[in-house]
Amino acid sequence: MGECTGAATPSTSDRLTYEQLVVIVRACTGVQLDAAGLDDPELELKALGVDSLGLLGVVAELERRYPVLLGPEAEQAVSPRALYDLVNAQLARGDRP
Amino acid sequence: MTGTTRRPVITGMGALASTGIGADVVGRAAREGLSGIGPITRYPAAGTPLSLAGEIPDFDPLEHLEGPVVAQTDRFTQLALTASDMALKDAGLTPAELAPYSFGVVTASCAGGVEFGQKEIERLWSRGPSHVGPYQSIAWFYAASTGQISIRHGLKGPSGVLVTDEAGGLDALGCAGREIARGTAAMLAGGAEAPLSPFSMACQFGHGLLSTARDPERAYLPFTRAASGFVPAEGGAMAVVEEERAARARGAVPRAVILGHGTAFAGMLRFDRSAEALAAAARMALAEAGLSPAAVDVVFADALGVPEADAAEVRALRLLFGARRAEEVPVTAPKAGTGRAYSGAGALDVTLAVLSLEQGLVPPAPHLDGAEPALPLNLVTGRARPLRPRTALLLARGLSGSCSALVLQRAGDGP
Repeated sequence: MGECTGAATPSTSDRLTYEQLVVIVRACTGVQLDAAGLDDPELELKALGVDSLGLLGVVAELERRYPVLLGPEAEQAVSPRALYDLVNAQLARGDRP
Repeated sequence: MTGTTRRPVITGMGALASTGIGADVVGRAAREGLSGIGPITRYPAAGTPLSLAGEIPDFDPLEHLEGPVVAQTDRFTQLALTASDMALKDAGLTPAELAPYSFGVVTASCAGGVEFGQKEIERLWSRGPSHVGPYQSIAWFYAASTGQISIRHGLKGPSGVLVTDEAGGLDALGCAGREIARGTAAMLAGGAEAPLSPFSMACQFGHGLLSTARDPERAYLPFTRAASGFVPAEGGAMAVVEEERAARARGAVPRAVILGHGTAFAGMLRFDRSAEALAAAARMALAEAGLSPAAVDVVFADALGVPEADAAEVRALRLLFGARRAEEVPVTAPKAGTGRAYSGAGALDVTLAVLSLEQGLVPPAPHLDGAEPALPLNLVTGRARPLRPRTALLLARGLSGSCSALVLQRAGDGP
């Protein structure tokens, strides 16, 4: 689902939290994650049930909700942690697209 | 089918229609002549010329399927997946217990994932390309149901997708029967549709065959003087087809035998030519079954509800049976009560024909008992008739010209 249903209005927050990531992943892919433990870099999106198309949708939704432009690195992210780090690194730099 | 000792039998069925969820529920409604036709609620239809459809009541995909599956599929695939789960359960068959590559799936699709697609196209036009979800790439297309069923159950045997309009619901069963005869152990076969989106209905409306009636009791009256087109519907059915001896050996009870299938082409919206094509398809199916037309105990008609098409179907029966028998053979059209679910319609007819052969009862064509017949037919109306049919002939026509026939027979005690 593009413009993932169930995702709240665009965030103005300056940081992505794992709780927000859980909401976005669920809205875009139907996969229910648990925010606790998502920071484990060994935890793989694929193993959690998020396939490559699902990840594309999640990245697009993140770009809509946060002032970030993520690109191929995020679209090939292996773990929720990697995605989280990419988004927050860009937000911290403040290099808004 | 003939020429082989490997007879394909139906061992499990799942169905969803405007009259309910589950083959037994849909079957009971058909026997009682109940109708599922009502006002369109899936989109705001007020102010549009089409006000009636056959919608499945209370189908929440999340009650039947997991969240990720629902997120990446159109409703037509959700219906096919749900029907497949029900059919496997009914058959008592666990795909993993069969040899690898010996279980396939074939579905028919007419509308594809049109509701999903419309939502994404609306986002494209109103907000731009980055707002289109990636699952659009796999949800819309005709092969989605076959693919998702294959993934869900690990089916890696011969698989396919038939896009032959309404005729596809019968063609899928014919194709499955042939795969069994060729050596495949089991097939899931059928079709399901969810065409009730504004885009799809706007496209359909152009051909002028949809009923614009506003009274659900009077909207879809095939073979009568009041015939004014058909009512579109969502729904469909899936069946598990297996080789008879293997099925019996594992303790399954065959529900019906697929004896023959035939298909021919008439031409886009050429109902004037469909009489010959339907008769040809029926002859092919009967020849494959090794039966003469006299063996047919009941006909499940295509019953388009368009006077010219109805007349052509009656001509097809005359060509096949001869003038006298054509007026005597019992003909029914349960889809007059469910609405016409495109390629799901033929698959639903398969479900109802199997139940009819099992139970000895021919379900009626609902709504027709008060209507004046336009053509001389022994149409089953009002209530189910205890005719104890042994052999059923099913007919289906696509709007774009496909004409198909399927012959099913009561399973009996063995080959």
